[in-house]
Amino acid sequence: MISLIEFFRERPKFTAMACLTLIGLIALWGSFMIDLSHAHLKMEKIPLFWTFFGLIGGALLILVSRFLGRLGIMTREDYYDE
Amino acid sequence: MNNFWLHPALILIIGGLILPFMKGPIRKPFLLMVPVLTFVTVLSMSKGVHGVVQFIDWQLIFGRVDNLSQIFAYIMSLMCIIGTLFAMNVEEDAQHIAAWYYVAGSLGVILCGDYVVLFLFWELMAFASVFLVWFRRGPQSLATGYRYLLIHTIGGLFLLAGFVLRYYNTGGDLSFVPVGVDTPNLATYLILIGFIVNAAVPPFHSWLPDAYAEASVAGAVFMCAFTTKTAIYVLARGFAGMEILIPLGAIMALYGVVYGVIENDGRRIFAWDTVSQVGYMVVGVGIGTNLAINGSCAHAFAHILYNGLLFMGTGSVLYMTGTCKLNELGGLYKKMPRTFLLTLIGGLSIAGFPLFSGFVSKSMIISAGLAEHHYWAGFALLLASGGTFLLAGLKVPYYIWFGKNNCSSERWEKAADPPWNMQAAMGIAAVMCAFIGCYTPYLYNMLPFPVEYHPYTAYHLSETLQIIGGTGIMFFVLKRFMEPTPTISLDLDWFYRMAGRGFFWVDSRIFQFIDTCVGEIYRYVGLYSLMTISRFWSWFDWHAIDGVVDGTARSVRSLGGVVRRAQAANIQYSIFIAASVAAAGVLIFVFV
Repeated sequence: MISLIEFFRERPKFTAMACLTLIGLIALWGSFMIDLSHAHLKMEKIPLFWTFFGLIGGALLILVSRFLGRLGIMTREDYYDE
Repeated sequence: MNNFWLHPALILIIGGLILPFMKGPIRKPFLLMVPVLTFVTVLSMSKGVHGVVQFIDWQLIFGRVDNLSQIFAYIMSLMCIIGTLFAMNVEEDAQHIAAWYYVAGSLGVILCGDYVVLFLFWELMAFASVFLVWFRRGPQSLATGYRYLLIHTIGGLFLLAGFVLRYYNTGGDLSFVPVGVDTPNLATYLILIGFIVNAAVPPFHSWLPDAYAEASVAGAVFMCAFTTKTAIYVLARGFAGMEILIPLGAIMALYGVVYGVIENDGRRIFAWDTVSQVGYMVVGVGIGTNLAINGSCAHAFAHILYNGLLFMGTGSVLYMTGTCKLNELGGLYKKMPRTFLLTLIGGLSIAGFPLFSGFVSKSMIISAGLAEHHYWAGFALLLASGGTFLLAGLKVPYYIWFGKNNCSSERWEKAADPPWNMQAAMGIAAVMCAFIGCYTPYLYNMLPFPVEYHPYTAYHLSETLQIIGGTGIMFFVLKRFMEPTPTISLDLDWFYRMAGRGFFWVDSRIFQFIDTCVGEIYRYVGLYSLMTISRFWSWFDWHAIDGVVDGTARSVRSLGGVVRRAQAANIQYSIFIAASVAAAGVLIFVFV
C-alpha cells in the first residue's frame, strides 16, 4: 500500500488530472445519463447541480469558518491559562 | 422483581467490582469476557417489560425491551466490547471500571421504563464518565472534568425538575413515554433541556469538544459513543416529532463543521464532527416520521462504530507520538500504515462515501426531511455532509498522514502502529463500517419501524459523489485557508469559564477588599474605642471602686509582688518555704 501511495505522490500532476477527470465524468454521468425523477426540487435538474453545490458549499464553509476564526474565535493556545 | 431477569448493566457493574481481584494471566480474558457476556445477554433479551420493582408508591421498570431499545442496547454493548479491546493494555483497573459503569448507565437508560430509573442511570453515566477525563492526568484534566460534571449536573437538574413537575401535573405518572409534543408545557421543555444538554445541542454543546479532547486515549473512545447517542435514544423515545429540534439539529450540523474547519487538534476535530453528526439525528427526531426515526437510529448505530474508529485512530496517534495537533504531525502513513488505512475507512464512513456505513444511514434522514418538505433543513444537512468530507475525509487524513512532515525527529522515531489489541479493535470497527455499507439488511432489519428504503439508487449515488467531488476540489484550491494553526477556538464555554473566573475575581478582589476594609475599620474604630472604654473601666475599677470600698485589689497586688519576689528565688528556698508552711499548717491543725 505504501508503494501505491508513493507512486501517486511522485506524480502529483498525473494524480490531480486523474482525480479531476474522475470527478468530471461522475458529474456528467449524474447530470445526463441517469433518471432525475427522484429529484425533490426543479433546480436539482440543472446539469452539474450537485457538483456546483459541493464546490460553492465547500468554499463557503472554508471561507466563512476562516473569517469567523479570524474575527477572534481562533486564539492563542494558552488563552485560558492563568 | 416478579420473575428473574438479568439486567445487562448488572453484569458490567458486578464485573467492575470483581476486576480489581483479577490478577495475572486471567485479567485480560476477564476484561473481554465481561462485555461479551453483556452483549450476549442483550442479544437474548425477549421483548416485553421485565424487572418491575415496587418501590414505595412507584412501580419502577428496569427492563423495557422493544424495537427501539433493542437496537440501541445492541450497539452500545457491541461498542463496549470494541472499546474494552482497545483499552486492554490500560493497566489501571479504575479506568476500566469507570468505562463499564458508564456503559452500564447508558444501558440502564435505554432499558428503563420510568423517569426515576432513567434519572438514576442518567447520573451514573455522568459521574462514571468524568473519571475518563480525570484519568488522562493532563494539566487541564481536572478542571475540564469539573466543567463536564457541572454541565451534566445542571442538565440532570433540569430533567429532575421536568419529571417531578410532570408527576404533579399528571397526578402521579412517572412512565417514560412520548411526552405529547403537540401540547408542550413547562415540564416538557424542562425535560427536553435535560435531554439536549446530553445530546450537545447548541447552546449546550461546549462540554463535548472540551471533554472529549481532554479525555484519556481509551476514555475518549467510550465517551464519543455513549452520552450523545443515549440522548438521541431518549429524544427518539420521548420527543419524536418535536418541530423545534429540526432547526436546532440543522444548526448543530453546520456549527460542528465550521468549528472543525478552524480546529487544530485531531481529536477535537472529530469531537466537532460528533456535534455535527448528532445534529443529523436530532433533525431526524424532530421530523418524527417512521423513516426519520429509522434514520436517526441507523445513523446512531453507524455513527457509534465509525466515530469510535476515528477516535481510536487519532487516539493511537496520540498514544504513539504524544500529540494530536495537526501542525505537529504529517507524513505518518509511512510509519503507521495500518492505522492510516483503518482511520481512512472511518473517515470515508463519516463522510457518507458509497459502500460505507454513513452512506446508508445519513441519507435516510435527509430523504425523510425532503419528503416532508423541510427543504432548507435537508439542504443544510447536505451541505454539512460536504463539510464532513472536508474534515474527516480530507483535512485530518491530509495533515496527519500526508502533507508536510512537521513531526519533531523524536516524535517521528516514536511513531509506529499501536499494540495489537488497539489495531484489532480498529479492525473490527472498520469491518463493521464496510459491512453495514455493503450489506444493508443487517442494519435495516434491526430498525424500529418496517420501512422500505433503498440507498443505492443512481440518483443518490451521483448526488453524493458530486458533492464529495466538488468539496474535494475546493479543499485543494483553498488549502491555504485550511492550514492548521497552533490555536484554540473560543466557544460558548467562554461564558461559563469566564463567569467562573469573574466570580473568582469578584470574590478575590471585591469581597476580599470589603473584608479587608471592614477588618481595618474594626481595628481602628472598633478596637480602639473598645480599648479606650476598657482602659477607662480599668481605671475606674482601680481608683474609684477599690479605693472607695476596701482596697482588696491593692492588697492582692502587693501580696502578688511579695510572692513574685519569693518565687524568683532558687528552687530549694521555694521548697523549703513550701514545706515549712505545710508543716506549720499541720502543726496548727493538730494542736489547735
